[in-house]
Amino acid sequence: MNLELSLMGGAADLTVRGEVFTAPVAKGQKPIVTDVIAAAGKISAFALPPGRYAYRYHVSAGVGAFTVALDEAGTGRHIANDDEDTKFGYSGKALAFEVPA
Amino acid sequence: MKCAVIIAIGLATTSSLLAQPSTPAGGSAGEAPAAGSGVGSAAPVGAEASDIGSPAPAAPAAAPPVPATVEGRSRFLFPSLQLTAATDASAKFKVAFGYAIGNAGPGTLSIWPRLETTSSKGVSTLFSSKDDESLPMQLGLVVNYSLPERGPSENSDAERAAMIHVYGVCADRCAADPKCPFKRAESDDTKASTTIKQLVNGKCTDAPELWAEHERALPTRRSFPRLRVSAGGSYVTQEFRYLTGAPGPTVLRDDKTEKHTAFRLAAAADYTWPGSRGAGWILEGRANYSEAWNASSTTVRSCTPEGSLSTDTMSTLELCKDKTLGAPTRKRLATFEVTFGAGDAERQSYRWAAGVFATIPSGKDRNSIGLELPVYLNFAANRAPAGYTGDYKGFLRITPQVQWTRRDDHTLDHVILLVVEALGQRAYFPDALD
Repeated sequence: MNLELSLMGGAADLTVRGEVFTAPVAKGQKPIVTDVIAAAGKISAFALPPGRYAYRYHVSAGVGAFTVALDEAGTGRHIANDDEDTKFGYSGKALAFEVPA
Repeated sequence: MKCAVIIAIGLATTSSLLAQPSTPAGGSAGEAPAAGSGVGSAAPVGAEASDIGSPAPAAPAAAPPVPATVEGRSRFLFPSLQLTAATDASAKFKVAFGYAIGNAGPGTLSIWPRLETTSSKGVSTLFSSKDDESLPMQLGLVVNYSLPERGPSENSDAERAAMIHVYGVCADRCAADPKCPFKRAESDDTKASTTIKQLVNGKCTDAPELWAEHERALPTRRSFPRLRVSAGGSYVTQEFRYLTGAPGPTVLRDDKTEKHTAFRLAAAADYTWPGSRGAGWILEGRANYSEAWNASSTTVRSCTPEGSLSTDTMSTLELCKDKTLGAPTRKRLATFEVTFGAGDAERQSYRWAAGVFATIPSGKDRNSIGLELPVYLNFAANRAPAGYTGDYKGFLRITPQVQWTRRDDHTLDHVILLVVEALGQRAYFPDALD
């Protein structure tokens, strides 16, 4: 499935950047998609087969609450979203999602 | 030596993003497109192109990672409002409309068209029903570019160990509670996959502070952009009506009118470094060039007979109006400012800096140099209304300044200023025109 990760809310310059792993994520496990970035003015597109995944990411260049949303490209079908805030830190954030068959 | 204290009281909102679905505005190549795949035709990682749309096995763990394709998507940003009033009677109202320009590059580019009006006669004169009192609106445009920090890779052993530790502390604290959602017996993979937000939602309110201790040891900028550049300009057209002719026993012409356009160009740049204990270092430079027109300070009084008082019929009344004599004069001014300081990279709750500035006016005015010590304190934080995300914040900016100007007799004139202002969230890294 072709997917799009976007960012809503937050400060104008706030940017999230991370990697997609198959879930559950084990010690030393490598990502399957890297450089997944979202900000005001940009989204990231990637494709995944059905399965369970986790988007691990960190935040920079902004403070406050924001939402990371994952949708199917083209149809806009909602897959998952994560309401986060920098008051919970800037790293160690995760969006768990499942790509349906 | 002159001393002045300016207290500014402002109402400001911030530049939170409008929480609505983004509007596609033409994608472009990603900054690191996947080899052999692209948007719209990208094959699932670890699967052949013919597998698209049909069930496919999960990507094999040994498959090499594939970079995502970054696309530009433009969107509107939440407008920014600012109203400032000062005890020296100066006032300013500004509204700026933000628009993030879609770009697949590493930074964020946004433009902020803005309307601004200023007055030296108090807030009440910003908007007046009298034509001769209302102030013209300045039109401006600011372009901002910020470069975020590229942080470390995810799932590092250090981050994993830190999250397991925080989870363990949370599990220990509620171990006696049978409803505790955190179990010490959970696998390390489960503990490491937990987020601080989930720990807080599970009533472990200490989790953010425990995690902050881990993050403070990392050389990262957190909320600071690596580089932020802002440039902009504004202009306003003003009409001046004045008398012409030499003062004295002569007839002055009162039909002279001139229209002039005043403008301002400005640029600002901030570069940041990671600091320690949640703070960061900030180097800021600002440059400003303005060309303004000022009405002549020479006035003459025009009076007409207006009868007499009822209680004193022998009196003679006159109705008088002051009129400007002489054409307006143009004043050019260039200012430069460099500051270096530190700020709270975690919550942007404070910032201080020390720096130098110089003003270079045109004409007979003398150049000046000065020292300043701006301090920002976050005094307000409120949630955005429903439908929007982000916080509304306000900063109190206190700026002591000392300015020296050389007089004609080669002595120095000292001016000490203390400016206190309330500014919006973007004031932590002010726009070029702010």
